[in-house]
Amino acid sequence: MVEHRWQIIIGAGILILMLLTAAFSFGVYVGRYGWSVKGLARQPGFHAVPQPKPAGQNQAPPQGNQRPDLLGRIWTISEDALELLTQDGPRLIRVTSDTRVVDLSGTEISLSQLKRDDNIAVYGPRDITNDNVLLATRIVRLPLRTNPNQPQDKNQHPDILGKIRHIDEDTIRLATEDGPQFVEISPETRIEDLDGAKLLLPQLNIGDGIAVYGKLDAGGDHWLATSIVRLPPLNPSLR
Amino acid sequence: MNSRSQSPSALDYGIAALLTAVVFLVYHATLTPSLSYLSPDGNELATVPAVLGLAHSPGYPLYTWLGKLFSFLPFGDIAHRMNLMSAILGACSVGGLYLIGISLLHPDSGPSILRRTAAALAALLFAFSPTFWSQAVIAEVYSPNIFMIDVSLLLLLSWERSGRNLDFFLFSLAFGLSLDTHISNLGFAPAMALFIVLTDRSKLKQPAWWLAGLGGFALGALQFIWLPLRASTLNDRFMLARAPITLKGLYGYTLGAFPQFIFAFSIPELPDRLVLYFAYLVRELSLCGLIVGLLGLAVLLFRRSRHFYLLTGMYLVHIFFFIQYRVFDLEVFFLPAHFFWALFIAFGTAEALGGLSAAVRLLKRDRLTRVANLILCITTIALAIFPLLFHWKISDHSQDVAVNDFYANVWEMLPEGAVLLTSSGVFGYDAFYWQLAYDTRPDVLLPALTTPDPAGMDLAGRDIFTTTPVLNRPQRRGPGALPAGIIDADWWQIPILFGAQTEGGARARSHLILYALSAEPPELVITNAKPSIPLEADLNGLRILGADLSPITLESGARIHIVLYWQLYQPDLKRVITFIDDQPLEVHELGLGNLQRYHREIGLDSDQVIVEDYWLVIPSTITPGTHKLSIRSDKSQTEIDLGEITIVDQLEMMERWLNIAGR
Repeated sequence: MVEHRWQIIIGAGILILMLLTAAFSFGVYVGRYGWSVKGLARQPGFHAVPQPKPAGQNQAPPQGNQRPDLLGRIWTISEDALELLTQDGPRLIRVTSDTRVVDLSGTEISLSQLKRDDNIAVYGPRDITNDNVLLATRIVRLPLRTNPNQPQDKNQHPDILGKIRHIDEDTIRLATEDGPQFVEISPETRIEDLDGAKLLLPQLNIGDGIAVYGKLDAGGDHWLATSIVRLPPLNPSLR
Repeated sequence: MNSRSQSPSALDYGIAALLTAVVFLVYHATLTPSLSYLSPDGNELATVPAVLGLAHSPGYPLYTWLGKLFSFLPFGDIAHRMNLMSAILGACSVGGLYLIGISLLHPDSGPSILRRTAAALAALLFAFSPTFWSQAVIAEVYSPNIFMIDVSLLLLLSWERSGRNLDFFLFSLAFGLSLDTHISNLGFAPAMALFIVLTDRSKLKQPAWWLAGLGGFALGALQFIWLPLRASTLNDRFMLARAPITLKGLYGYTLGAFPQFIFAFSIPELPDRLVLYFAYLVRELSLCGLIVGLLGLAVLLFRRSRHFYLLTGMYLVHIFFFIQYRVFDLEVFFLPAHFFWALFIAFGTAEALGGLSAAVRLLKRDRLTRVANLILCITTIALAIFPLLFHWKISDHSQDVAVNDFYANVWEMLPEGAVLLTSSGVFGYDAFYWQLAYDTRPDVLLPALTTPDPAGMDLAGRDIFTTTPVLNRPQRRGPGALPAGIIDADWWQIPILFGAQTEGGARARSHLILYALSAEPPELVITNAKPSIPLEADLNGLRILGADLSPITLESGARIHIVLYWQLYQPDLKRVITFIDDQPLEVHELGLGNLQRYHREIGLDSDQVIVEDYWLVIPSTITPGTHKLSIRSDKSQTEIDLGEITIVDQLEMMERWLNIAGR
């Protein structure tokens, strides 16, 4: 019976420790992200609950989400549509008179100022009949500078553009227009933001959009990054 | 209060069997019919057992052998039988969860009817939680893993009651075997050892007991001898890099597999990871389940402290390990933790129901108490209807026939002696399955079936096709990619068959297209069009002149030949969407992806007619009868009717797939 009592006392200690750990974690989380699921979306391995599509309705754009619905490179442009190469393959972006096109500072620009190979972020609901078509409410042009390490005659556009899905200590897994891509990081790899400020690998997060400059390894399995440029988070006011 | 678990009664076994049957019916109704892309390696796991091969790390020998047994079932195709194995073992896990719950619920917590109610509710909540349900309807290891944890725990409790070395041997054997379905189960050992010591430490002085335990575990773990024996069947480049043919390779393939995923987060990141786990827990078992489970943990401690150490220890080790695990499909790794939490819910529910019943008993009216207990029982069990209804739609994959329909048509279309390029390794099994499991079209060469690097193969003189894009755009990279240079970059990649869009798609594999590869350009342009169905309609810069359709009566799951004749007035590229009734079947770029290059290299005048000539798979799930086939351009909402087609269903879809497989 004495032994049993000790089992309960120690067990109660474990329970209290569990509750304290959980409370502490929630406290840290709320301190970091507030009362939102924003922090969850940044976590590797997080998948939102799959929701059946509402029949007969367009999906409303998510409110308050800073992340674009599509990120990709312009392939073709017409007066009412863009064709975008994205991580999920080609997507058609339908543009209407209600679509706002802005640059990263929020300045309105015209659709005609967009050109092939521009990288853009698109917000808007998907077409009811076709998941491959997005009805754009907002398009944000993402500037990409020339990589100073690249000779001037080289393409100023990055070798890969995508969203981070995994980060290990030396590898990044990206979702790109060509499917999953593995990017190997070496001590020589420079990681910067658009302003040229140096970043450390831990400062990259799951979900970040990045541009990678580098070369394919001999086996063609993964990219050896010479530099990585993190695309800035979008200003919520641009939504 | 710290008594041993109770043997389930015959009634309990009956209830467990009933729960298993009900849950199996639900899983069966939502079962994926055959292959799918719902799991990244599900098609590999559907194939390997049938050929007694070796799956990706850690190899899954027991899964392979069990799957081989299931492959002898006399109905469905092999992939269906593997899906069925998940459903059956998943349903049995639910019955097992009930038995563990009822063994451990203390008689003092309330009348037996309410304890049974609590255990049954916990089992059903777990059964209809979205992630476990999703894994019970596809070929995957997670449902068998829960089954093995179930069996191990039931045998451990059986030993606790009997003290017999034979029971301990069986428990150790089951635990050793369970390392196959997930090697992380090894982390449960410390909690189990503590439970054993707390139960009867005198056993530690008995050599026969040690022999039974170590012997059973070693016998179970011996299954991994399968790895070097079957290593020659590997065709995945990442697995071949650590082939289990040496002791180091064996370690790298099992315990040392995927080191980059393990303990991948720094200490400051752990609070966020823990919150992520709780978010998953709430998603699976609801906020109410979280709260009741917390109550259950406390109840477990006071009612059965030894079992508290067993279950909570297993739970905490699991959480500690997997919140630090960096994988993209993390939710499935928490399934054992959700299983334990469902048990905690059983304790919390039993105590709450017992308290309500005790309150009614204060009135000292036996009949009223019995009626109240019955009402509590019915209303509590009815709660399981909510997750069943909420999660049905997202868990129902019974209509996911796209992969089989597509490949059935691919095998029918490929000419004698053709080459079919596919993704390599684990991701190529949507195609490998057919030749490995059924020896379908042995004349067709699948280069990636035997090696992840088929660049050196002599493909000369053969017609070459591919289901993975290899030309025109930057080549796909990453796992499953074919090496660069396998095909001359000047060749043309011409889509000839479109499958319907698939569900899920853990990778970018949702487009099912068969391409013919050719040194010659496609016949994309003609001067005079003579369509059998004149249409003459404008679609905002694009004019459709007409179409040819054949055959107009076809079997569901078969393909229809479509030829569309277009004139393009505006140079921007357009997309064409094909509908059957109001259901979009496929989307393709005008000119089947080759228009820009054709214009650039060969030339295209505005008065010339663009011809799109392709086949389209009509899904097996389309009901027999007359259906409208139509197209729409993404630049215009105008729908152009191509005509009516008649779908017949002379063959069940499975029968058709098996006929084509060559069974």
